[in-house]
Amino acid sequence: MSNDAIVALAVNDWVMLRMPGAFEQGGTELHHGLTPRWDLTAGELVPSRELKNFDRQSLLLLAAMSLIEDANQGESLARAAVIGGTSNGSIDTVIQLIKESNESRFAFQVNPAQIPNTVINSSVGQLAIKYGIKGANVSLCAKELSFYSAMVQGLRFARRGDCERIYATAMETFSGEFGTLYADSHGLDAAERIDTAAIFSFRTCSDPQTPGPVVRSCVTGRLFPASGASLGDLLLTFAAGNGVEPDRLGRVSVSVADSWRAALDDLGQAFGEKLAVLQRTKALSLSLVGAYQLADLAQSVKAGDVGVMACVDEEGFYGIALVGGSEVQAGAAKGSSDSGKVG
Amino acid sequence: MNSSGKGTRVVVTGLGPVSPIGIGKEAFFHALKTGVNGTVPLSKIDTQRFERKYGCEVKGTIAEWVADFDAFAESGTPSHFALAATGLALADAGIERAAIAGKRVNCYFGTTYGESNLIDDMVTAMAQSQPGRHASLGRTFASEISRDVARSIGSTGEAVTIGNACSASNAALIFGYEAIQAGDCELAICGGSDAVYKATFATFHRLGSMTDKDCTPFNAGRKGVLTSEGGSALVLESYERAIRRGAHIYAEVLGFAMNCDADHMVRLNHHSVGDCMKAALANACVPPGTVGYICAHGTGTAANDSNEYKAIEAVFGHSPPPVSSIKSMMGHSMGAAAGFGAIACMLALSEGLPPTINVSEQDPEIPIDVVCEGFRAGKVDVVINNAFAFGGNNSILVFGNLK
Repeated sequence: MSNDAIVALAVNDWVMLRMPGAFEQGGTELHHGLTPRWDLTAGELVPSRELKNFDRQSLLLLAAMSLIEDANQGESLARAAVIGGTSNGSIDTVIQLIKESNESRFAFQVNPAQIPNTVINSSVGQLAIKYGIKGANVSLCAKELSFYSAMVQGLRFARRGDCERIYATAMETFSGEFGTLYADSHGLDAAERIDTAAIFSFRTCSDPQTPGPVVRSCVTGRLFPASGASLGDLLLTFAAGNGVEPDRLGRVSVSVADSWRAALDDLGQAFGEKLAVLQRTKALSLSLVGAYQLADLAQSVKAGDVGVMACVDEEGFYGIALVGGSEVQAGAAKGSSDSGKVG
Repeated sequence: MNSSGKGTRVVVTGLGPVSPIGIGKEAFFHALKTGVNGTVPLSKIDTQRFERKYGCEVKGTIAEWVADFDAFAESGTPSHFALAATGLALADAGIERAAIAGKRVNCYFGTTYGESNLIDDMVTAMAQSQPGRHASLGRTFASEISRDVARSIGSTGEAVTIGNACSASNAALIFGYEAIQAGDCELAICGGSDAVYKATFATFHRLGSMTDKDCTPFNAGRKGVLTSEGGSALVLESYERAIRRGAHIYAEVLGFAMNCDADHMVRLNHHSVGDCMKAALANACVPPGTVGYICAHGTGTAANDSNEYKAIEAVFGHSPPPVSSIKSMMGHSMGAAAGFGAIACMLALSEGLPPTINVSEQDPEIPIDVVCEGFRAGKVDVVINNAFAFGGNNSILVFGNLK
């Protein structure tokens, strides 16, 4: 991201919705850390006759969007854009379709209602249909950096100026077969495998002092340890490149793969108590990683301060974002609190 | 007729097609000019329990086209296609790998189904309860397609796989264009890849939108899609960089647009497609009358071709530019398709218009100039590359000869 960018993404509202079991049993708005009174049924999200056309991931995303305040005020979203971060789309629906094909007498005898859900972009496509979002709609796959990539692209969309509102999503369903395999391969307990959808509603702004948390800059790339470049250097260089001196950094949120753990000592020395290391379960949550970190900064960076979030995977693929804090608007930093539906 | 007034100019300097009708620019262009029909009985999936048997497949051993293949032997076929396409595109651009290693070269590849053969293998292993079934789990992520490309060139830039289904490689090109314009990189490798895949075949088969043999876009009585595979890659770079290194410039990216039908998951909305085309032309600062060719999405389904025609008519009135669908020759390679369309556009800008083959009786309800008599010699100056997808995702690019 070039440093001459003055366009930024102000966080209007955000929701992280976790759904551990069957839909009607309810979910949790993660940022409140509460188990809500769940009175939302799948039938409220889509007409009953159309339910067969949705899979769990799409319903989860629609449920999360139903909690975003600015999406539900009757305002036209025709000029909004959607950027979906995902590791592998609705992979469980793909697995189901392959099984049906393998097990049927004829290999084409698969459930036609679920066919549209087998493409990686299915959930954000369903979201666009439900809410009439007619701007650019893209699905980005970059493992743990997916949400970072969504922010990079969101800033580019904002700079282009043909959308005023951007919904960035991240979504993973860990309860299915793929999630189980993934969790097993990383030694995660079943209780930690919770299907989660995150949505951040951004409004584009040209004033970095816009109230509320503001994503000012974001970059992704790859760091080669052999080059001698350190994560700490990268963070400081990035901040300095955006005109932020180290003493203005109020919080540094990092998520690092095991092979980069040694870097945490250096970071601890450089940033002290400002350093917040994402817990392992969340660090293994694929596209949700960046969303967890942005949620953390949105709640913790004080007015006038700046937070940095960074993620580095085993191979050095990284993402870094700069998030400014300023006077918070009602409903902006604390995420959705739609008590009529949840909590 | 350029985008110089909009900031950094972005140009195409390398082409890497890995297609069923030809691997490499020369073979691909030759096939397009001679109207090769790539339809074959499929060998890469077992069609015994399908009623349909035909598709298009990349011929030969892909390993021959991938530098340091052993390092990527465990990757999926789509990654192999992307790697092969990247190698060809870089060679065509005259760029040595050593010259870009450690540089910020952004890699964007589109796909519909990701590392599909590995996912298929994983499901088979699940059914057989094979121990160690998740040994290659990490390889099944769609991100690995673009990351393998980044790994292969030692890039320090972005690596993002774009899962926008059949418009994904146009979206990848748009990402590259925007990244260069933003000053985030000077060079980007953009394209798409997908492999012939049982799930794809079952999907179109089940939807009743698959042809029995030949793909016949714009023809009366057309029957549908012919599934295909391949990898497409284009090198994009800033105009200044291309000039500095004396590169051959195929075209300038004049503009683009992306939108979403927000209407139906699989049914094309011609109003929305028309809006997208108008927005792309406006973004490119190009009046409709100057467009010399449209590389159609042209899947060969009754509904797609009809809706695409209505969209074209809405933008260009009753005298639209010539249109063709290269899917008539090479089938629908899903996430790679728009990249092949973009490469075909380079042929249109330099030599002439690729044909739509298999048109025996043009649909009277689509009264446009479909290039169906064979290759139409004579270059044009401005072209449009259309791409639409499940989910209502439309991505359209405008290319032009350098002025």
